[in-house]
Amino acid sequence: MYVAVKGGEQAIDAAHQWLAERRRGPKETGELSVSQIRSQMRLAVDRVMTEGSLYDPELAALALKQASGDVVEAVFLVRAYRNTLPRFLYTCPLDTRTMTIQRRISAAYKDVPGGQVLGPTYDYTHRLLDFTLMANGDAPQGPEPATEPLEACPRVLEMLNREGLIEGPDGQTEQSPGNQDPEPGDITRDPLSYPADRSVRLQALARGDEGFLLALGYSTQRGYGRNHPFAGEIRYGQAAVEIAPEELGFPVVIGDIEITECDMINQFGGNQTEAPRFTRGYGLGFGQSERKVMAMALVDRALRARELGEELSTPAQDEEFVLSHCDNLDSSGFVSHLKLPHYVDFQSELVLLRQLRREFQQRSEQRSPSSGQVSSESKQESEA
Amino acid sequence: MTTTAQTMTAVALDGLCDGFADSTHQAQQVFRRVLAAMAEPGTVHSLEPGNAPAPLSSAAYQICLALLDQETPLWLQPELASAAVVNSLRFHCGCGIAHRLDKAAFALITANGDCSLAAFNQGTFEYPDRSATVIVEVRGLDAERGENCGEERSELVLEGPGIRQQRRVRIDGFDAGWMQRLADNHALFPCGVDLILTCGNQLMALPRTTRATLIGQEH
Amino acid sequence: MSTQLANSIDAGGYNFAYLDEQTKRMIRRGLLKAVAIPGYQVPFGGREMPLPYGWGTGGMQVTATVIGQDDTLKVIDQGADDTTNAVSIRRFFARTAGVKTTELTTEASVIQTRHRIPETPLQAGQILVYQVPIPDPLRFIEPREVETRTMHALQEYGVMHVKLYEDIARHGHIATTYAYPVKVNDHYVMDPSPIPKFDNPKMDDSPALQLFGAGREKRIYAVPPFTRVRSLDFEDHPFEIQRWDESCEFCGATESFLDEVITNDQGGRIYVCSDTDYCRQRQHTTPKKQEAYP
Repeated sequence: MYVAVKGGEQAIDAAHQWLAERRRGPKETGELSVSQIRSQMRLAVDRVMTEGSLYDPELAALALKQASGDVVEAVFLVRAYRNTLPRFLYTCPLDTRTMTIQRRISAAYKDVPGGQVLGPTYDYTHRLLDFTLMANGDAPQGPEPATEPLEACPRVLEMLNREGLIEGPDGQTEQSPGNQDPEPGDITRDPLSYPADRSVRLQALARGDEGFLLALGYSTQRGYGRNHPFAGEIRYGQAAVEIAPEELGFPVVIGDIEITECDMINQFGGNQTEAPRFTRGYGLGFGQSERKVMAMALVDRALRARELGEELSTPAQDEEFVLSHCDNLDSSGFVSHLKLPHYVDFQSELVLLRQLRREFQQRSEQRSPSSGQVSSESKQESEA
Repeated sequence: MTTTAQTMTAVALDGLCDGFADSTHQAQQVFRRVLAAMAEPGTVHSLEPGNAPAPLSSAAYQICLALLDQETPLWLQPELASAAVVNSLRFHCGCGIAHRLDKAAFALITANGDCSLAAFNQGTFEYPDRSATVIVEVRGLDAERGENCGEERSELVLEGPGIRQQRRVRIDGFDAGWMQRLADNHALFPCGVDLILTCGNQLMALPRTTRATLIGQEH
Repeated sequence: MSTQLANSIDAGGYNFAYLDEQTKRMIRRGLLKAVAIPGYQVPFGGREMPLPYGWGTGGMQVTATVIGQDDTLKVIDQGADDTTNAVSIRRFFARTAGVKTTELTTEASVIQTRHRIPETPLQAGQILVYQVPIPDPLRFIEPREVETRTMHALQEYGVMHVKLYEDIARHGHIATTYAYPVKVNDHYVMDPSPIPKFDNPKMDDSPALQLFGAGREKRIYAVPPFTRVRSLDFEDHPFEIQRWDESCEFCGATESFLDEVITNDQGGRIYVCSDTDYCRQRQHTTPKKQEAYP
């Protein structure tokens, strides 16, 4: 006797309960606190903030805890929460020139004003599992780090710009400090439309999936849209966030956020009328997110191909392809939706497929009455 | 990030009229009636009676409260742009006042003004949704009844999506000039503006898809 | 903002029906344009919802935008009220909007659906909200939005007919069985969402208002009541819907869309109505299958 599947509600409740147990793990192990995650899993927290598009280390840590460490799931939790927050004001543009530096390197010059500051980085660690972390959790004490973080140091690309060797940050050829940037777009308010301007592209990339951008950025290094990048400068530290309420008439600082910024120096252009100069790509993320901002800078530069008069032939240069597939809420949602029931559509396909096979068999029988057998691998194709 | 709620400075605004007492639910109710009106052109829908800043009708005011905000520049026909109207809409909706017709997302006009619909944003073939929505204050609205109305009431036959075969309506104040404007607007499909007609607390919509003819002049 | 902001916050800290008022206004304006341009896909600033993209966020945003305290909501997935996703979405609105819910098609003022149109004919005043994964019917022919937007603008739909005709050349039939493209009001070609083509005729001249939401793709579109909705076809290959030789195991229906259920590994299978409410109503009002089919 067949009984239709019922009780979806109880099934969902039971699944959630089970999930909660699995998230907590065995009771003998200590519960992971949000502050532990925030301070000891900070790079995961930074990624969740960047792709979650919300600067709040505590909520990002909570999301990681709730998501059992699944970063994409945590990003989703943060985005869904962010979406319910009212907007009171827009901040002034961040001035990263005045940021407090914790780490700052340039691969273009041996030394630069302000110096090369290694800061907290995995870069020169030997990737050997450190079993002392497993034993007692205490890392061996290293030398005292530099006590005072560096005060504002000039941007490397600005020094190049002064010489006219590189285009301005906005892609303008003439250095024009008085020039006001155009009002940036906002993809969280207005859906993407193509062609998208650079502010909109950068916003999409900043929220975009690190893995996806990393692969695309990598592809440009391997010849798929090669643009000769040099890491002009990567800086990580605290930048002041300012607002300028109309009734005050001047900006006030409301707090500091940690950011990572990447200026990439790229292949120079130029023609009969314009002197050759380097071009640039830009990346910015919350917290310490170097891999992300470097990948972002490579893709940003690749996406400027049209504007710079380059031939469009590779995935990383394809604005619609990159922007419409870089968001991991979009991609993970749509891939995972294949888990939802599709049996009505599948039934529709079955009905047609059986009919087509019946007709195929009839035709075969008419063609050769003696061998009416149709092999099960007969070449039937149907639209997926 | 730390944010502080916007504190409204208590300024005496000339003729400021109340907004919705319960904005969530009242806005929803008004929207549903506008949606029903747009979905079935020529049907008349009544909103809850309410105050409105003179000279606006209550229906026009409520539609603005429900649909306008800082993202929707509004163009006001000068006769309607009283201090009370401008202040009330600015205060409750936060909408900017458009100074050019073609920059407006919404417009408030009266049927006896000589405002050309073609001057508003018509949308483009790629993005016809970007066209303006024009709220027209009329002197009277009637759907399929009121045979003995005043002589100046025009009886119209409507056809198009949302209408089973035909619908007859009477619109007080729509003259031959208006019939031409409606016809021109309809001919632009998929571009063109959409009209919401208001009178007292009643409303009716005539989207760009609706074909309107005066009775006695059809075909 | 001011007074428009802080109303109707529920105990959980979320606004009525979850979305904030500014988002609702934006979607409402989009819906009005969608209704005014039947079948045209209006871009809107789609928001993240607490459910994943692809799981009905577009439909949910539309529902959250139209629904009010006096509405009665029905949610179906694959025609059924009790599939997990339908249960999950219905619960979401019961929790965030406190609205009455129902499984009866006739009792609902708003019906959110994934992949089906109810068998019971819809009535005037009802709103049917479709969840849409890929809103552009041309997407599978031309993946670029830049291109398809121009094709819609110029009504360049020849490629769609070519694609359907290629099916005929190869299989003798049009091989599209769901998400079968329609032409609305003799203008735009529209994706009816992945409903089986069995349901396409129900869209034509329907007394109900049909709204479509694609959350991830950030598009909404609409078909007003009493609007011509024609499935694309050819004179020599007219559009036709699926038929079954079998009837519903439970109610004996022969005119409804049937789901095939595998009952054992020996090839045993039965057929049941995909629309659970329709099936239940019939079981109450019509004699058993055996009596109906002696």
